[in-house]
Amino acid sequence: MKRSVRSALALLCLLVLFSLSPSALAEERRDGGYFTLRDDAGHVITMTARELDPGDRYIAADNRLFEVVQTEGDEVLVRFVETVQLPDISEGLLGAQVAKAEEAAGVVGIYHTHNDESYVPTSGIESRDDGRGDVLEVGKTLADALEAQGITVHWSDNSHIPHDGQAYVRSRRTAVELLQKNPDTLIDVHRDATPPEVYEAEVEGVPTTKVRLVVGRQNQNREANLEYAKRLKAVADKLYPGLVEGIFDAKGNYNQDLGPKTILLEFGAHTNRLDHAKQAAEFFAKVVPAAAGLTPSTKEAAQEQIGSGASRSLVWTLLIAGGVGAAFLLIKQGRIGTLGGFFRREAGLGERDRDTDDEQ
Amino acid sequence: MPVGTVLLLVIAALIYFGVGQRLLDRMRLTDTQALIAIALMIGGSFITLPLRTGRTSVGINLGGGLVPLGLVAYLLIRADTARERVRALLAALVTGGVIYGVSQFTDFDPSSPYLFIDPLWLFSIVAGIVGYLSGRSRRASFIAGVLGLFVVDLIHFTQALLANMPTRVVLGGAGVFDALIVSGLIAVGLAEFVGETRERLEEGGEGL
Repeated sequence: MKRSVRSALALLCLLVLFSLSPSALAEERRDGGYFTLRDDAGHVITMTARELDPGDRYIAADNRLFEVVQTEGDEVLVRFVETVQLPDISEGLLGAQVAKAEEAAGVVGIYHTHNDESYVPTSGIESRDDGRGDVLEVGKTLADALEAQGITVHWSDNSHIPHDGQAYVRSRRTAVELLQKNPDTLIDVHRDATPPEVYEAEVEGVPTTKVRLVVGRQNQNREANLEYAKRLKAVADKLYPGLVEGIFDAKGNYNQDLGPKTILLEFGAHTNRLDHAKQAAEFFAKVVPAAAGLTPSTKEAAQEQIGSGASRSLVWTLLIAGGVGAAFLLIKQGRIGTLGGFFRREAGLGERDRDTDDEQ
Repeated sequence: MPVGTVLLLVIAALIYFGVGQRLLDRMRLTDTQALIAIALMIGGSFITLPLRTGRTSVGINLGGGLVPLGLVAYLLIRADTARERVRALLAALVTGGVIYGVSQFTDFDPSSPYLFIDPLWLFSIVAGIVGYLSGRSRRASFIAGVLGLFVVDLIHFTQALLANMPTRVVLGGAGVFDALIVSGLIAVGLAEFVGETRERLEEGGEGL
């Protein structure tokens, strides 16, 4: 066996073994376990069942930005980076938005990658094998409340069970189906798995769960989606202080490569009550139109802010594409001096070099 | 829609479709055939054919399922030897098995600290490695990428059917953005990188 083949085989074995290590087998927090994020001084920043990786970032409820340094067991050490300045949301504009809610116009898509997720205090179980988890009711409540404001909502209760590593690959199909309806924003509704106090809140004197936003940082829309998440939090902080627990800017894709303004929302945890999560959905439905720019008075500001994130995403996309192209050229030809020729050939504007090795 | 967002969407689509077309072109397809294949994948994304209705339903998307499977069939038919066909099909089975195993045994979320990358991209890389190992060609990698994910879908459907699970399996349902196609293309790209690197290293070795 040639050395190159042996090396590749070894790489594959390592990859598989790495994926199947005992620690990896224990990663799904269905054991009632959760991670506690602490800063250098030992202060608890938040808790989550979400796996975290060094480099992942978290914007806390008070807008302090933390970065994950390391994880040891259930403890996640984070370091303070800075206090994030969220977009300035004018109360006047919000007032106009609320008063003219009936003027909201737009399309929203809602789906559930983990449609089995439920709330134990209400249903007695945290996950339903038949795929009709309580979380569907939360998504439906969000959809109904948005529709009441004049927004067209496409809510999907498609099942993606079982709740395994392929769930996002399956829900990707639902996400694309919804994108064909040309939504202004696409929302994947989940719940977390932490102790109840993490998400318990009282907003406007009404008991509710908090909402956590998750942005995947392994896709080209990350910057735009992060700006969108910040805008959602900024509007929520103005309209319903205490409603948003924070924003994870974490490793992963979550099908957010499919477009800007795609977001994952966690309404409470399995230890919270369904009616409280539904209340949070009612509140959040008032946040989405202003944040996504679906009302006349907020459209311009939303476009400007999310557009600036998209521009940064664009620069990164071009840089990475250029880097990969240059690397390939270096490998293929041993030099990058023929970059112009390469692009001319690839664009069909010049003579192509014949590839013969694909016939091997 | 703001200019930045429009540009981002357009550039990302151009890169994806452009790279996709060039990668298909690296297999036994002409420029035009590769372009037609990409166009069919895009156009076909809007059409899903139901194959079975009921509690556990199954369908296949034209652009994300039938077109790439058609390409796989074409590549298998045009393979030089029966041995090449068998190796490509075995690679697909191994890919499907590895991906299924990983996704079942780990239950990992995209954020898992034990994996360096999102499952969507990871499965494609697995397909690329297995495909390249089996035939050390772009074609074998593409076949492993597409058929490997197809095998996983079939396993899921069989499981769902046996358990009378209320779920819907749409093969290639995300159309041109489905994991089947993403996996096939990344696998070919990986084979291209590995192949070119190996050739460069061998050239370097000869020169010493």
